[in-house]
Amino acid sequence: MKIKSLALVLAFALGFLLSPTPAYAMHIAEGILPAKWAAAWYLVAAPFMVTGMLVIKRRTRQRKGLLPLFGLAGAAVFLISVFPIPVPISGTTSHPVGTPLAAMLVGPAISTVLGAIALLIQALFLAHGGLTTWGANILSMAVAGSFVGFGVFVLLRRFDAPIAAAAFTAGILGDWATYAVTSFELASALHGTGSLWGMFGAIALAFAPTQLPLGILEGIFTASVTMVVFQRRPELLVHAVPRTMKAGVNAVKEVG
Amino acid sequence: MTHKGEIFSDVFAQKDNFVTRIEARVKMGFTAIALVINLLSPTIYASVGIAAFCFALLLAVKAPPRLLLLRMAMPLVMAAVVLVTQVFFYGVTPLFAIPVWGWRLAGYEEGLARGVLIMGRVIAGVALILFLSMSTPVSKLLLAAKWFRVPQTFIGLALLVYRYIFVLIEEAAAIKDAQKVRLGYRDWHQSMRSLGVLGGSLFFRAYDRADRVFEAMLARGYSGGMAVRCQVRWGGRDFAAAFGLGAMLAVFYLMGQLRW
Repeated sequence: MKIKSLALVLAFALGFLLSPTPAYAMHIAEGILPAKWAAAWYLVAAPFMVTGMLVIKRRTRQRKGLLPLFGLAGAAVFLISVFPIPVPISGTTSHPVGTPLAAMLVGPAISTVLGAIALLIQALFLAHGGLTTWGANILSMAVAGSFVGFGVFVLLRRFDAPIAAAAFTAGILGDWATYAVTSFELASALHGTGSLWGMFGAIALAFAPTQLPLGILEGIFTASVTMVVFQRRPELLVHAVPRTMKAGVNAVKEVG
Repeated sequence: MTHKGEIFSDVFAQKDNFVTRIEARVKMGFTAIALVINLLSPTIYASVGIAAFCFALLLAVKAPPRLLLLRMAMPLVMAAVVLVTQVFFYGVTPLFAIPVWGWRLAGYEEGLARGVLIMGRVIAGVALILFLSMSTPVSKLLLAAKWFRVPQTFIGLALLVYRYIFVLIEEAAAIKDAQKVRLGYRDWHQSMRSLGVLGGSLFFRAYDRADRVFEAMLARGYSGGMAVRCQVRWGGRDFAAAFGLGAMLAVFYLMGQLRW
C-alpha cells in the first residue's frame, strides 16, 4: 500500500508540476466523476444554492439596486479567480479560489451563488471544471471556500484579531477547505474496492505540493485586498466586522 | 491582463455557420443527454463517438485546433493522473510490475481499462462542452436555460455577471498598466502588493458602477425583475437539426453498449 501511495503522490505531483497551463484551484474536470457521484454532489450542493438564491431574491426585493451590484461583484469574483498570482522561485503563476474574499464582502450565501456562476463560466469557456461535475465543484469551491473563509474571518475578528491576520487565515483555510473537499470528492469516486480514507490521504498528499503553497498565496492575496478595502471603503466589509466596530462603519457609510 | 478574445471561446459562437445556426435549446438538450450517455456507457466506444463527432463539427466550422488543444490540456492532465491512480489502485489481475527501491509496484488490467474509460469520458465530455460553448452565444444559452425552467434570478444574475466581466477586464487592464508605469510588479513582494490594490480597486469600481447601472436599468423600465424570455419559434430547420442530433444520440447510446 505504501509504495502505491508513493507512486500516486509522484504521479499527481509530476502531473501538476508539468502542467502546460497555470495551476488553478482544484477543479474536477468533466467526465471524471461517475454518474451516481456526480448526482450525489449536485444534491448536497443544492440546499446551499437554494438558500443563496432565496437570500438574493429577498434582498433584491427589499432594494432593487442590489441586483446589478451582485452582478458586478460576481464579475469581480470571476476576474479575481483568474488573476495570475506569481509563485515565488518557480517563476510560474497560479490562481486563487476567490470565494473566501467574496464571502467577506457579500456574505457566504450570496458568495456561493456568485462562485457557482463563476464556475459555470469557467467550465463553459475555459474547460476548467465541467457540467456534470459542477455540483461537486460548487460544493468544494463555492460552498466550502465561502463558509469556511467567512466563518474563520468572523470568528477571529470576534476575538479582536488584527484584520490582516484574520483575512490571511480566512484565505488560507478557505483555500485548504476547498482542497480537502475536492480530495474527498475524488477519493469517494475513485477508491474502487480499496479504502476510501487511504485514497483520500493519497490524493490529499499528492495535491499538497501545489495546493499548500497555493493556499498561502491565497491568504496573502486575501489579506492584501481586504486591507485595501478596509482602509479605503470599510463599509464594504460590513458583513465581517465585529459588532464593536459596526457603529464606526455605519458612521463612515452615512458620511459617504 | 489577457485579451478577452483569448479568455472566452464565446467569440466563435458569434460567427455565422451551420453549427451556430442550430437553435440553442436543441444544442443544450443534445449536450445534456450526450453527457449522461457519456457517463453511463459501460464501454469507451460512446466516448470515442461523441468526441469524434464534436471535434469534427468544430473543425468543420474552422475552430482553431490550437485553441481546442489548449482547452483540453488541463482536463487531460487531471485525467492522466486519474489513469495512473486507477492502474495501480484498482483491480486484481496483475498486468505488469515495476521494481522500485526493492518493492514491486504492480499495475492491474482492470485498473487500466477503468482508467482508459475515464480518460475517454473526460475527452468526450470536454468536447461536448466546447461544442456547446463555441457554437452558442451566452445570451442564447441563458435564454434556452430559462426555457428549461432554470430560475429567473439565477439567469438574470448570470447575464449581468457575464456582461460585466468584459467591462471589468478593461478596467483591470487600465489599472494594471497604470501600476506598471508606477513600478508595480517589479518583484514578487511588489507584485503581491499591486495585485491587492488591483483586486480592491476592482471591487470599488464594481460597487461604484452598480449605482450607474441601476439608474440606467430604471431608465429602461426595470421594476425589480429582468424580462428573460425565450421567444424563438422552431422552424423546419430546427426540427431537422433536432432529429439529426437525436439520431446521433441513439448512435452514441448503441456504441456505448458494444462489447468487443
